[in-house]
Amino acid sequence: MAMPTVQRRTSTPASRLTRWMHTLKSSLGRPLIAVLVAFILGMIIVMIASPGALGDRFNTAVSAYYNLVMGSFGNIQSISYTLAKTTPLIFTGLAVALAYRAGLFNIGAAGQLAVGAMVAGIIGLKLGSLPGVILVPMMLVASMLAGAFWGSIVGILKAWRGAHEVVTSIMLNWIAFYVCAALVEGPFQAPGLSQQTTPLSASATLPSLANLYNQTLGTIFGQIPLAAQYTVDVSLLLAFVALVVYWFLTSRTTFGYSLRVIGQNPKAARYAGISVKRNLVLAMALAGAFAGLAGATRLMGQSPYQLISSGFSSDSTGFDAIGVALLGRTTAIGVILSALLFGGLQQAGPFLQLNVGVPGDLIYILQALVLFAVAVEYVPSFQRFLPPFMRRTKPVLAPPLVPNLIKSEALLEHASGSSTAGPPEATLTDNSVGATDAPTPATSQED
Amino acid sequence: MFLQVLGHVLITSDLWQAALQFAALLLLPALGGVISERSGVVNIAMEGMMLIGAYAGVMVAVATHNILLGVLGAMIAGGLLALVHAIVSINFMANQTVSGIAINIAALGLTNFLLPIQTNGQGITALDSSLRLPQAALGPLAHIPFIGPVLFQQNILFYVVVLIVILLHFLLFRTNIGLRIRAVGEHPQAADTAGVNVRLVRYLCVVSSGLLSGLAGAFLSLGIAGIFNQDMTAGQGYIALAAMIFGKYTPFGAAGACIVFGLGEALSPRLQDTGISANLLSTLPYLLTLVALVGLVGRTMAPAADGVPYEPAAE
Amino acid sequence: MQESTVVTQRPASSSLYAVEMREIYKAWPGVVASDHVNLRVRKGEIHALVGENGAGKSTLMNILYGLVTPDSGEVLINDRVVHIAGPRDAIRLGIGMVHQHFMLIPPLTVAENIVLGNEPGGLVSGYQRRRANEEIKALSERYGLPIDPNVLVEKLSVGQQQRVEILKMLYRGADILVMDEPTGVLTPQETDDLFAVLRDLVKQGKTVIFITHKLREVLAVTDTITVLRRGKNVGELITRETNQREIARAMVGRDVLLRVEKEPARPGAVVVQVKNLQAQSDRDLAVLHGINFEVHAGEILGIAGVEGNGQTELVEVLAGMRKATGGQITLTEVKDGVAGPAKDITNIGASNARIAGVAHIPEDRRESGLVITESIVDNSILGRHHWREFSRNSIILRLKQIASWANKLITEFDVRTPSAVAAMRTLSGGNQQKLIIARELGSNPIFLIAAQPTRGVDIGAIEFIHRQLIAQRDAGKAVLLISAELDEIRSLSDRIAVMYEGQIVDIVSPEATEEELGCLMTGSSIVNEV
Repeated sequence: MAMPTVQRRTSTPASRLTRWMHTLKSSLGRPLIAVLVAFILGMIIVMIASPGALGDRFNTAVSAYYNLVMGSFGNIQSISYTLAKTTPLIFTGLAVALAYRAGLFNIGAAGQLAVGAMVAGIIGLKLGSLPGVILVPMMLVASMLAGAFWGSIVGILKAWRGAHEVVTSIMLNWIAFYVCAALVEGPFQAPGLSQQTTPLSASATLPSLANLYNQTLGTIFGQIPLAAQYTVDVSLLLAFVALVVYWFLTSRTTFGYSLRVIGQNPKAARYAGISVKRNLVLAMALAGAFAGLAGATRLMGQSPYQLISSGFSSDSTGFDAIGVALLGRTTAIGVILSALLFGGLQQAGPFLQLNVGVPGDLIYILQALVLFAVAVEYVPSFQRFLPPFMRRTKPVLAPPLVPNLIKSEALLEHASGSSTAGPPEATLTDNSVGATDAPTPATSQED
Repeated sequence: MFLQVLGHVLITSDLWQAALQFAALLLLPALGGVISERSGVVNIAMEGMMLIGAYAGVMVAVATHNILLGVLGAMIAGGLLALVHAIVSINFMANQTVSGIAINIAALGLTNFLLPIQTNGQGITALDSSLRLPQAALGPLAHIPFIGPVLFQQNILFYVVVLIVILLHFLLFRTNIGLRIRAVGEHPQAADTAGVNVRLVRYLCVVSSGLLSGLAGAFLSLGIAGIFNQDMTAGQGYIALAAMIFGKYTPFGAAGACIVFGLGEALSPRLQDTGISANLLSTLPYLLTLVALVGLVGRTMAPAADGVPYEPAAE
Repeated sequence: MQESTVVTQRPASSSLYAVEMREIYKAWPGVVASDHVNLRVRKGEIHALVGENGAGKSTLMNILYGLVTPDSGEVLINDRVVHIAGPRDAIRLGIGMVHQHFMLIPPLTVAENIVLGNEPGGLVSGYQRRRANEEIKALSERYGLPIDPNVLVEKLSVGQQQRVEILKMLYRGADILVMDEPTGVLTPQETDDLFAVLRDLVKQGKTVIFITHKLREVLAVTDTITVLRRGKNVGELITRETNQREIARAMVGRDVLLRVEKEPARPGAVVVQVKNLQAQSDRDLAVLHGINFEVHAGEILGIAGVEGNGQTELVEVLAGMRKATGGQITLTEVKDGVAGPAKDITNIGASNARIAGVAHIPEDRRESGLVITESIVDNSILGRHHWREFSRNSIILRLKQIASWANKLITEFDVRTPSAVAAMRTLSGGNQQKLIIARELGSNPIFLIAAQPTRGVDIGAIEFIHRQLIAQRDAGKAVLLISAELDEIRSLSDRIAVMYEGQIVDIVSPEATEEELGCLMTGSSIVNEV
């Protein structure tokens, strides 16, 4: 065995599995706790707000949660509704996640979505006579371009003017809402109506999955009865394509690698010769494209197939997406799971009022609580109850669920500035590795 | 046609009265933003704090039949929500933007959730005039032509806002407390080593922003509207955010921005005949703020440590 | 193994100690930063606290200043046991600290910075500018530290900022002044001024604790010395009874090689030619005013100079990270002693510079040389991810090749890690440094830029790095070494270029004396000064 062999990475399927399990555990653990904490707090809120004795209140809370589960995933029909609500959340969730990988906080998904929907709608209305095979792809591509344009403004302002993306996103959101509303109430207003466009022609819409199946495979394997009650449309499949694209981009390409470097350490990106500006703009454009698709697919896939002027600013999808992306830790799998959670909540909300008498807006409180729980990076008060060796120092051992992206440079300076006061850097991380690096004379004598 | 109407509208005193009323309403949360961000805590949650203030103000006023208690309730509600923001971002070192968004969602959810429960599904009817913040004419000053109606025939809270903006400017730039607030927002380590209690300063500033935003909510529901509607703030908290940035994180700057934005809001219903879309006019605050951010009219710079959680070395 | 270090036992003295720290113990997760450390500082002396990076100096002082709470041990100020829970307590006890990174707020005025936290008139009062200015003026006259209280701190030079820091302590009535590595950013002249100020302060009854790792300064200004090594006391010495060698041995735990062993250089053809190079700083001010030098194959050119004279910008321009506003850099590959065609690499960008054969060990390696949250595999291709070896068409990563490359670096450079997919932050500082060196040397460069390569690493790693640099030289590479440590420059370089205010003032042989180099570094020519 004189040959120097590399032993470290003989990766058997079994070892790969355990590693994957480990990744799964570490990436699921905190989000699950976050959701659990949020739901327990939500339960307490219901119990405070509902009438009756303590037992009654408890029963109300339990039945509220029961209705949340049954309303979203109780039967195939509700699952179908849930999936229809999940689809735009996946797109916008990816829009937030992708930007996040590059260290940008895209809270402008709402505006990018509005612009995407508007442009798709304009094409659908103006060219409604074209056959679907041409019209639908045109609308989808146009929505992506529009969203990409809107998103890249944020990227450009950030890259060249240093304008903070959170602030510019908020401004651009409202500009998008108002401009779209002006268009809907202006040139594209339906005759005789005041605040909406006419519905899209059938060739501009996306079929529901059930209908598509009935028209294709269903002719061979048997029809789905009552297909009209299953509303989820084919854009769900598009969302899966988007997820795969996202996964491939972020983990298999030099672009994804560059984004990671930029997001985690802009100084290292500069050192490596990675163009921060170009990649930021590209990331924001791609994020905008995802969000734009969310707008188009919902317009084209779900009733009423028309644009409503007040719908742009009241649509919460763009903000829910932040929860989806952060709870999903910006991974493709995570985005699916948390989009399902948020979509399910939104689907089941109305059942609360109907069946339990609890206002359906409870789900927004739950969403907010999930966001809080996700945003919290560490809980100091827990630490006091731990023995010293179990206490975790935040920056080193506990990777933050939501790294503070605001002013990453300032953060870096902050970190280096505080290093004088904190534990010495080099030694703090020594626990896993031998402390001495090069052989000292003493050890070489032993050899 | 357009210029003619505009020229005609611009010299009417009721336009300017409305503009200043909007400005005062926006200025309260904007000042809240100024004080919070000056201490280094990003606050995009004025919208939510305003909404909960508007709700609590009406509920308390109706329940107690006391307008003052209503205003107090509004401020406390806003302050409590701000306290959540403070705890989460100062102690738990949460991402302040995420926390802000969560607060906005929570406020919308909470008000919508509580409204049917507390009113047995009835909703709230328009308030009796005794439960509304009154207009107050300031004696002989109110009779000065043009200036009288514009400046001295305003809602009572208008004068309070004018007072607050002056006081806040004085506090921030002329007092020792202000020096500490600015120090904490620029360089918390330096402030800490100089003996300033960073967390306390930040707590007080964030909670103050909630009190001010809550007061704005009361102004909206008890003063201007006389009713509470679901989501009645409708993005005004975000305009206040824009005003804060446009005003370069200073009280007087924010006041100037609010006057410009308030004028825009007051103009839009008055220009409808000209074919200028009210929607397009509503983009004005955001467009102007973007322009300011891009640096065409002088760059706006946030405090250096804005948004960075402060972690004392000893933990 | 316990090395026997010379510990001069001082006779127990009845004089009053200003600071006494007894059996201070502080452990961070995985490491003991302060292992029953004792420190006794007499009233009215300048006391040096010396040790290598990570020896526990800063931890000890942060405990004294209340920024860190010790796990056990006690602190006595003026013979009284005290509990210091935070800076406020420390200030009240008369302890002042000048941190290594200044704790000043740039957009505030000098006066505002000084009085912050202790403003005239008390907390609930208007800011009394005139009174603050008067008090500061009185203070600065009394201690001979002139400063304009109305200037914004961001307009001050580094030396003036330090003066503000000292005034800040004095304003608070500090009797015990802790100076954490105060000379790192100062010119030799400013350093001398500082020492004069410190001696003056001691004369006026103050006590100074001076943290440093520069032994020359210890000998120049202090009265007594406490040496720490790996969180433990290893020596308490009296300055006038000791020497540099003895302190160094106590710090390191063994005899230190003061000179690096190396063969004489056999320089070949010119590899790097820098002509009239100009560049601007981040603030768009000219910082490089026409730099000229060349580096030959098989030689190490050292760049000496006080930090902040354009070295950082020079490195960045050479590495392609910063745009040159004028001048030219050419690179010539020398194979078997035969020079190839000269390539112009001015402003081609960091990425292309690497392809051309420039390797760069950055000065702030943890901040810019690594992405510590990512894996070793990811870090092994930082700056090279678009190379043909690592990606198809510079688009799709070749994960297998990248992994085997990372493993090759780990094996060849003995990077100690449990696995190649471990996150970079789980490695020790020395191993992080090694991975950067492995990455930069492993791609067989023709020109190596090593900026402050040994900053913040322990002695063992320093020797490893020095050997690697010599090995690169002997392999015929052109090596440019930039270091703030004059000793390092002198022992490694074959020629030394001295930089001052954005210019190369002279290129001298490593045999030049320290005094000669010092004069050049301050911009004065040797003849004038001597």
